Amino acid sequence: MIKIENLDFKYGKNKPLFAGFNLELGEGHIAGLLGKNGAGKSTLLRLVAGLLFPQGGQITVNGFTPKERTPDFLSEIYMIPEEFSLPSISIEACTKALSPLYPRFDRQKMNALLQEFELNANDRLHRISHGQRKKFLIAFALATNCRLLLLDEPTNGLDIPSKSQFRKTLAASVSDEQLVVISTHQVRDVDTLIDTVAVINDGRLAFLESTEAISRKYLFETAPDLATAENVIYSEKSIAGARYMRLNRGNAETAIDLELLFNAVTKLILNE
Amino acid sequence: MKTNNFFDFRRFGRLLAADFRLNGKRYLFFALGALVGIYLIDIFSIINIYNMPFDDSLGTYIYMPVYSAIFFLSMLIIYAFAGSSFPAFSDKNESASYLLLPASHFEKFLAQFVIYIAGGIVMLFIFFWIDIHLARLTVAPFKNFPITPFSYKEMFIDFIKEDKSNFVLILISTAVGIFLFSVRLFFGKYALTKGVASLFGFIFLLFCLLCLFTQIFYPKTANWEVYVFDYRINGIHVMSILMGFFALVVILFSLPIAYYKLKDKHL
Repeated sequence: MIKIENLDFKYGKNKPLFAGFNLELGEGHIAGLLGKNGAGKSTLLRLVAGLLFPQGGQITVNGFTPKERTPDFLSEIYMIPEEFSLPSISIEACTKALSPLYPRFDRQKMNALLQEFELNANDRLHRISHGQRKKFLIAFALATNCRLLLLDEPTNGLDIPSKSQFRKTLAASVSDEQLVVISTHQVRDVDTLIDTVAVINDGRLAFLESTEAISRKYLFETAPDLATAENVIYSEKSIAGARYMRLNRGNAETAIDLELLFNAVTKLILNE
Repeated sequence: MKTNNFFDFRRFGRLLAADFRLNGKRYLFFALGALVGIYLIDIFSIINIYNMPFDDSLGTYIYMPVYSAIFFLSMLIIYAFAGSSFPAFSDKNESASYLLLPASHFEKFLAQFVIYIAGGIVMLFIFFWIDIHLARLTVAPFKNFPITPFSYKEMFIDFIKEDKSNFVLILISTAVGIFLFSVRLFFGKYALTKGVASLFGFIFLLFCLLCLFTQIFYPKTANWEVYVFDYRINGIHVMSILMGFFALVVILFSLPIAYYKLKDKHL
């Protein structure tokens, strides 16, 4: 679905954001694109969407070159940027205006999602809160049934119930032909949602694994004292003593502590 | 599903429909504003731009507004409309949504052209016709002489017949409209202001160049005066030919360059 080879990109005269960056993601997944602030997560999404052009290397999405922004390519991707503007019309009017441009738009799904998000079709987009506008965009994105959904910090601005609602709705709405890429630095918001973890650090892909593989390889545990733990790769102090990550030598499985994993990767421990 | 990636009539129709649904209210307000604006210009112009020939058959003076000049003045309102094309590009977030709409660059460009240029021209002709009649009716009770009636046919025939060089004015007006239409793709933020400023800048530079030539070839001419050699080719004044040439360059190159700017737009 997404194939990025030797990508080079920088803004103006700044230091390169990506130099020889590679990434491949297939359909049927919800991938979490993690990275520190300024790591280039949003830039990468913009490059994949064709809003920015690579300065070197190649990006292909569904066999299309994003920078060409052909209609067939655009009708198969939907991007929710972190910051967005919506017209001063009602949800219904906006849906009616834009949905005909997406060949596989599902009106029933849209109505169901609006109901789930407790949005009224007659609500005017400029009179509802930022979180509600975001929920409308998420509902619209899911109803387009585009093969690639790019969500940039989708949980920003959502309240706690909405975040869990977002996770449930997304998990239930995504089909096997779709790929969802969620860029976020709020790892806890998506830890139960994603099935692939990609971490960008210092302009390169520092880590790419499925959650299944992560569970197989590592255990995430908490203990009052680290001295009793074996094969510890990375640890952090916590109220209960220590949170740590260790190699999984047996068949046991623990829930993935995405924050710990992320910190291990960005501190250049896990990937070297 | 594979479709024609350059132009698909149905997709273009959907894009136009989407634009009207999203911006319909804006267009309506602009149309109402234009109707009022053109009326005010017409009233002002009828009072100030006129001839008073004596009609022997009627044995009276006739109040003859210069309709062609009023028409060109009314065009200013439509220029403002043309200059507000590609509204999404005034905001980075809106630009992203617009560029990601599933339509080709050509369809997006054509949709804006249809709305702002074709729509602007239609609006100008309809509103001017309504407003000039209204303005005549408004002014008539205050004038002691009959006001000549208005008709497009008479206006254009008189305009061209009067002086062949006048044809160049049509070219220049078209060039200005097309330049203002493309301006948002050239300048981004505050595009219309920058566009108008660059237009005046160009006129000023041209004026300076002509002054320079005047000083070189006709040194006796006073400073900041342009000596124009009164020479005509096929009845068209050389100065008009020069201006017409610039207008033609703008007409021919603005649209293709703007299209490629749209194609190359990245955020």
